[in-house]
Amino acid sequence: MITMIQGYEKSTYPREIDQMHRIRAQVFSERLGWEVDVEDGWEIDRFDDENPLYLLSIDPVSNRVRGSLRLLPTTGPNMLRDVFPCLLPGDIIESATIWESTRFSVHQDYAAERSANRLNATTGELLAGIVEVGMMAGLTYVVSVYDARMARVLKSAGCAAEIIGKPQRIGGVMTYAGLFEINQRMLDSIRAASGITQSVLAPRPMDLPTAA
Amino acid sequence: MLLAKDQGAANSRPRLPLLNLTDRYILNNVQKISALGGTNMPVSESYCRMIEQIESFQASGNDNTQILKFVANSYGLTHVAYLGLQLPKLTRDGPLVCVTYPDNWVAHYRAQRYVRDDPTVHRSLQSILPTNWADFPQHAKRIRQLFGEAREFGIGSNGMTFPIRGRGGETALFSVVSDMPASDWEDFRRHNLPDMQMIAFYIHRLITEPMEQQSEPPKLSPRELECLKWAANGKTHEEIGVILNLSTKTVRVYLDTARHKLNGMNITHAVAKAIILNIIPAPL
Repeated sequence: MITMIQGYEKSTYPREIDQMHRIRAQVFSERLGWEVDVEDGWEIDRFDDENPLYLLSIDPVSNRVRGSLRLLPTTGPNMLRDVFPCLLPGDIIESATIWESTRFSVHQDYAAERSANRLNATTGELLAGIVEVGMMAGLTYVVSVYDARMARVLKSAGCAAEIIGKPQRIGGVMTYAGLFEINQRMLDSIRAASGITQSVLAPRPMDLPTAA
Repeated sequence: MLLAKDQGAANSRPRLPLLNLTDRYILNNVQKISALGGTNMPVSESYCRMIEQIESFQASGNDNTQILKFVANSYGLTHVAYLGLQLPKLTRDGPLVCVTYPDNWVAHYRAQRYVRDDPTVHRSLQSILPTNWADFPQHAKRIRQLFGEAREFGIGSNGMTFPIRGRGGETALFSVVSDMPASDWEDFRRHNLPDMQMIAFYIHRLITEPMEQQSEPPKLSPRELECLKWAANGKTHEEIGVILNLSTKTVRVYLDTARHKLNGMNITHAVAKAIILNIIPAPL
């Protein structure tokens, strides 16, 4: 299941937030060799201070974090605008109905779990989660920066991207900026590819009924 | 009424031009201009009409509160509210408030210092997800009291708050409140989410941009300019794609970001504004 963690909920989920930053360090620094800052085992950057919305895939049996990603509105500070402007020379994606997805990562222990078409189960769940949350928020697109490896994963996940701007070699790997439509068709496509049949979003704890 | 061009020249701080007669003509004939009135416009007709109305309202000297009242009426809402929470130089004395709420409610809210407990404020500072007021935890006494008293003051029974993030990380919120029956409210939310997101950000820019020290004409990228120029010359998205060797979808995105930067309600409107601002040459 996907657990959404908003800025004000970080203190409610300290264990999950800790695991997320450790998985990010393991994936981006150790495995992919990106030039990211790792402090005390955490990969964390300035965009984590902007109160992003995190989506975490949680193992329903062990309650361990399997993978995560980070969403930020493109009207505010975001990585495509502030870190990778070279991918969109002279351009800015800025819209109240487009969010940016970054730091997509899956824990090594869960990297082998595949659906029938060899798509990683956590990847499928996270992608379905983006579309469901995007529809909840009234988005039209999600924009993301990703490399050739992720491009193949997205393709097998039924996640059609529209490449925008100019793909570049960054740190030795081909890097793209792509737009993903947020609609029922995209959700159906991801569900079909990943064998998901229902909402991946964990029910949110509701307090008391609110009727007066 | 002054034409937008004259106003821009007369004002030392150039602002985006108001909608002029040319825009309105093009808009009214948008279906006839098949090249520009594509079916894949990312915004709804109601949003387009809304921005047109806001601009003509503004042109006839209405203030921001009257504009918000118009937005509320048009969507059948009882009230809408904009709160600038973290704006550079502007919020030292508390949030920048622009609301359609009755004065006695605003005075009561201030006297009770509800801004300290208001979950719409707290959520908007630390969340990007729109929240339906029914989903706020109601176990805290102050929150129950706040929403209870809001109902007593006739604010409305259903509400939804959209957090807003600005270019420099500024934080604001836009709330819409309604007295619709619960099922109508669910329908309204389902159908108007993208509109409300865009209106929230539009209102944010409408209120904050005149306060910014230097407002310059928007900077469009070479690709956006090229797409706009061809759109002004009556080319379809497909034709522009062939000319510039881009996919139709990419052309649509460039035109949409250009529209956004120009604060245009659709591509036609963005083209008209770009011509008025001398960003692109007038078509032959």
